[in-house]
Amino acid sequence: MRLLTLSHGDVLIREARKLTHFYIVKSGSLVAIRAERGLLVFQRGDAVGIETALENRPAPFTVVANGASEVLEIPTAKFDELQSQSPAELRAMARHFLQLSEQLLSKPKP
Amino acid sequence: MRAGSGPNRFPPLFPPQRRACSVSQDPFREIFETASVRRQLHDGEVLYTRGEPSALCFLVESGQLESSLPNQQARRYPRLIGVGEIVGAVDMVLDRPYSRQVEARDASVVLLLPRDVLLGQLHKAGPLMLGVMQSLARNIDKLARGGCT
Repeated sequence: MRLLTLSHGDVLIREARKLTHFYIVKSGSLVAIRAERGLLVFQRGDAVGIETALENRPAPFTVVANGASEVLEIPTAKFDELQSQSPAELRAMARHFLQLSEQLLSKPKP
Repeated sequence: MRAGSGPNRFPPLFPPQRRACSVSQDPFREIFETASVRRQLHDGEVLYTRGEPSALCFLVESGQLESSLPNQQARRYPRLIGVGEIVGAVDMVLDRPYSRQVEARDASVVLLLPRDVLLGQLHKAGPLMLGVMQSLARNIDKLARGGCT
């Protein structure tokens, strides 16, 4: 794990790219953007890119720093390892949440 | 669509070779059936209402449920929940009362998972797991309400 320092406008995740890490926001905020529209705001404690990283899919949006921000970069493998040691309930819950996120992200905004 | 069957749009969370212990294709079913607690609902029966403590989450075994918000505050509601899907889990993980009302759209059967079991395991799994699951739940909640909040 390592701490990344971002300046306003820095791109953390680029749409359509695959990820080998995900991120936890330590300070500041980041915005997920698709088709020039803001989808989500990430703040302290939020996990960024985890759906993409764990499902090994292209990122559904670009994530940029909204002001000076710090994020912890965590290898996907570390979370996989943690989950593999977890009870079936948690693995199932994680899968459910990832699928639900994907469904919501795939729906166009009305 | 029943979880674990039909067209699978999502790759498994863990590649099969990495599963150290046996995990069924439909882990929720295994878990909920172990508990052996079911509830039958008739068409139109309310499962829970907004503001009630989120003491349980539910797997739809048969039938169909509808999740709704008062005055349809969110853009993506009402939402239909079919066989193999669960309701109540996001509120449970966010440690808050149910944020929607859920009722049966047909005669339905749901299997139950108590809050204490799930949250106990989540806390036991450690801060990274807990934080990530809460973050996923927050993101789902934001997206369901139209995003960027």
